[in-house]
Formats: sequence, C-alpha cells, structure tokens
Amino acid sequence: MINIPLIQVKNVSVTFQSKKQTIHAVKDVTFDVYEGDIFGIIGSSGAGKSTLVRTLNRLADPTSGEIDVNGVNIATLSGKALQNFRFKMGMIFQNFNLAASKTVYENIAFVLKAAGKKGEAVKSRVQELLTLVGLSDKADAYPAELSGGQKQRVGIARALANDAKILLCDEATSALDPQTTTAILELLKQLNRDFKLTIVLITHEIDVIKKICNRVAVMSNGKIVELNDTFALFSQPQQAFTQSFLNVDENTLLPDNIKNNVKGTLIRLRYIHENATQPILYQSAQLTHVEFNILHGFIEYFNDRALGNLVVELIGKPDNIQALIQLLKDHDVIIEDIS
Amino acid sequence: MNLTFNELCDLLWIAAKETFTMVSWSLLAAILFGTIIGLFLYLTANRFFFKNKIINQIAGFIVNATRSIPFLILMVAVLPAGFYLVGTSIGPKAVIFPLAVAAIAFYARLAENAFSQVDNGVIEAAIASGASHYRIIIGILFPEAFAQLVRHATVTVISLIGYSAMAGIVGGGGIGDLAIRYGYQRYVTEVLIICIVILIIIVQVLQFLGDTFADHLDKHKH
Repeated sequence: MINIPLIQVKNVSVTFQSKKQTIHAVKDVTFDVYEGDIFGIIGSSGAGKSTLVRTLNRLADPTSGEIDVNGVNIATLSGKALQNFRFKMGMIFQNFNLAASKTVYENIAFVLKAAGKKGEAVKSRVQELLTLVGLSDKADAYPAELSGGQKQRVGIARALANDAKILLCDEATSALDPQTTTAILELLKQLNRDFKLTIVLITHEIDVIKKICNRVAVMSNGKIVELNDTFALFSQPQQAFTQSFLNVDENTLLPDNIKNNVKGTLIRLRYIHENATQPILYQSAQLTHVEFNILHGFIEYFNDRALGNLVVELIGKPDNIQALIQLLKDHDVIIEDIS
Repeated sequence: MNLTFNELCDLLWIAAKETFTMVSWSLLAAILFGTIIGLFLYLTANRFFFKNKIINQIAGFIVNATRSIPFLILMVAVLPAGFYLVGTSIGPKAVIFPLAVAAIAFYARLAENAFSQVDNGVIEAAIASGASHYRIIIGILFPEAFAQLVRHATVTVISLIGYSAMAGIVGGGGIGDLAIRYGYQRYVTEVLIICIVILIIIVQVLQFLGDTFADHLDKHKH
C-alpha cells in the first residue's frame, strides 16, 4: 500500500503588505501530514504558525506555493466547493470563538444548517456530538455559563459537526489550566484513535507536543527548522535552535557551585528506546570498575517510549572511564561530555 | 394671553401626535436604511467579507458629509427634495424627510460600530465552518450585534426628538415647536415648562425601555 499524504504543503510562503513594510510570515514551508497523524507545529509567538495553519483551510492564502488536501489543490476551490471542503476540515481556537448570543445547541446547529441539514437530523446530530464531548446536559446553556474547558468541548463538537476528517487546532489549550489542558488533549487523542481523525495543531506549549503529537515541525521566523517524529525530535534534536527551544536539557542543568566542585568526569547520558528502563549504567560501571555519582536526571515517557536523561560524575582511572563510555555507547546510550 | 386647561390639553395632544408622527417615521427609516448602510460600511471594511478600501471610503465620506451638516441647515437644504416625495414642504409630513436623512446617516455610523464590535474570532470560526456569507450575516452577525443595535436605536430616537424641535421653522409642529411658539414667542411660561417636563419624561421612558430591552438581550453574555 502506498501511503499518500492527506495534506501536502509544498513551498508555501505568505507575505503581508503593511503600510511601511512587507512581512514574510511564512517562508518556503514544506511538509506532509498523513491520515491519522497528530501533527504539531511548535514555535514562539510571531513564528508564523498561526498564519501557516490558516492556509490549510483557506482563511489565509499563500503568496506562493501549493497546498493539496486529498490530492486536490485547494487554491482552485471557490464558492460551494470551498464550503464543502471546509465542512470536512474543522477548526478550534484559543479563545473558543463561540457565538455569545447562541446556546450550545444553537452554536452547533448553526454549522449543521450551514451544510444543509434540517429538522430532526440537526437535533439528533447535536445530541450525538454533545454526548461525544461529554456535555449532553449543557445543550441549553449559553457560552458565558460554561468553563473554559467546556467551551472548548463545544468548539470541538462544532468543528466535527459535519463529519470533519481533519481538525485544525489554533493554540486550542493555551487559554486553559493544566488539568483542563490534559482533559482536552485526552479527548483529542480519543477522537484521533476512534475516528482516525487527523489533527494539525499549533502551539507554543512543549507539553502539548509531548503528550499527543506523533510528528512535529519546529518553526522559527516563518521557517520550519526541524521536522521529525516526536520521540526522535526530543531524543536527538539536530538543530541548536530546536535543542534550546525545546529545553531538552534544561531539567538537568546543574547549579554552578555543584558543577565547579565535581572532581571526576561529568557526562550526560541520554537513553533512548527500551534501554532507558534497563540497569545499563550500573552493570557497565561494575564491569569497568568505575564509580558513578548521579547528580541529576529523569525519565520521560512519550506514549510507550521512554526517554532517559542523566547527569553523572564518573570516578575512576581514565582508561576505565573511556572503557565505560564505549560500553554505554555500544548500548545506544548517547553520551555528551559536559565537564 | 391665558389658555384654558382644555385649550392647553388640546394643544399638547396635537403637538404630541405631531412629534410622534415625525419621530416614528424617521426612526423607522433610520433603522431600515441606516442598518443597511451600516452593514455595507462594515462588510466593505472587514477582511472576512468584502473588504474594499475605495468603496468603503466613498460610502464613509457620504455618511460623514451628511452628519457634518447641522440639522437646521440640512433641513432647509433637503426640503425641496422632500416636496417631491410627500407633496408638501410644510407641516410634520414635510419634516419627516429631512429628519429621516439625518437619522439614517446618524444611525448608519452607530450600526457600523455595533457590527464591528462583534468578535472577529466568532466570524472567523463561522467562515472556517464553511457557512456562506449570507448565513453568517443573518445567523451570527445580527444576533451578536442585536443588543448593541437596540442601544444605538435608543440614542437615535432621543436625538430625533431633539431634532424634531427644530421642525417649527418650517411649520412642522410638535412639542418642541409648541414650546417655542407659546413659551418663547408669546411668553406663556407654563407651556414652556410643561413641554420641557413632557420631553424629559419621554426621553427618560425611552432610555429606560431601550436599556431594559438591550440588557435583556445581553443577559447571557456576561
């Protein structure tokens, strides 16, 4: 089976003409999204990700380049065809963007009616959607009566109302507290699993990426600087920007006075794959007669994969230390000398 | 010169009816055409609809030009045109046309303001959902702006009552005219005072009704 990308973004650039200057919001961006992906685009604010995600449903048009969805160049769509295309591509927003004068029911019914549904079909579909997002008792509530998390659930129900196959998330959890963020991400994950919903999300929150994305593009100044699957990106970032932006080692930075008092060799070990859960360091150190002293470390889990990060001081004869480092490298542990 | 109570009541009743005729018809015209022009100004300024700088500026200029003419001058300037429409250039009927012109321009700006206060994010979400422009205007823009439109209509009707007092210049009648003719020109101070009191009561009642209705519409928003 040949896996054809659901979304193909080819050399897309977006420039805006403001009064005084030309703003290059997106610069020559190329990436593919496959069916079932949860594709994350991460970058700081002003990196162009908001503009980029809007080119996918034609809220913004590329200045150059091409975007194909399901093999169709979306720049060719207009009128009814563009509407039909948008029915199948939902979008949720940081500020939820629900109509304040409409109830939850009316907000969702609006997009169903926009797609030509009438009467009973609208009623039953709204109920179905509210059950799906866990708000079946809130049909008659107004947005102002809901919490942030509930509003976003309505946003999700509205976005998927017309059986959308793709969901665009524009900083969808950035206005929510950590617990609510986790609950909304769980819901997105469940929709991805149960309906094969393809999700493209933009965020500046590293945790969002770690929790649900299977592939990630890192964006800076309108360009994609690195693109990889999530685990590879966090375990072996190729670009200096990615490394600093993702704060890959921040959690294991040593205070200066500790670092200055270290007598042995200071190294950082990055365990990837299953070796993170094996006692490799202990076994190898015993074999090579090196003593070690753990100064910092953690293990993180990405879905089922573990990523370990340890900072240790090695004490022993230089030859033995070299032997230990070689032994660890043989076990696919990534070693970095930081003394 | 003294008026009997019955004479005074008759005068006030006729004047009130004249004011009502002038204000209600011109308000109706203002809401109808002012909303349409206000919507036009909004749609030609908003990037989610039919943004067109040149057309928007031309329309905006016409509205502003009308608004910048003092009502008294506008009234005498457009009366001849009103003559062709209503067949007379004196009396309350004649004044409706200039009042309507002023009120339409006034309300058009306020309506535009009401529409542009609608959260652009809500409009963007509706566009992203695939809804047509027509459906978004009817189903999202109007309901979201409605409370504000009601508030602005209240402001407009109160201004119209003020404008209508100038209608006396062309024999338009009304409460304001009564106050000028009897209270000012004939020194019947009681009439002047009664007219002022009546105008204050009418304005207060209208403001109260408008606010109550708008707040009722807004009650879910906060």
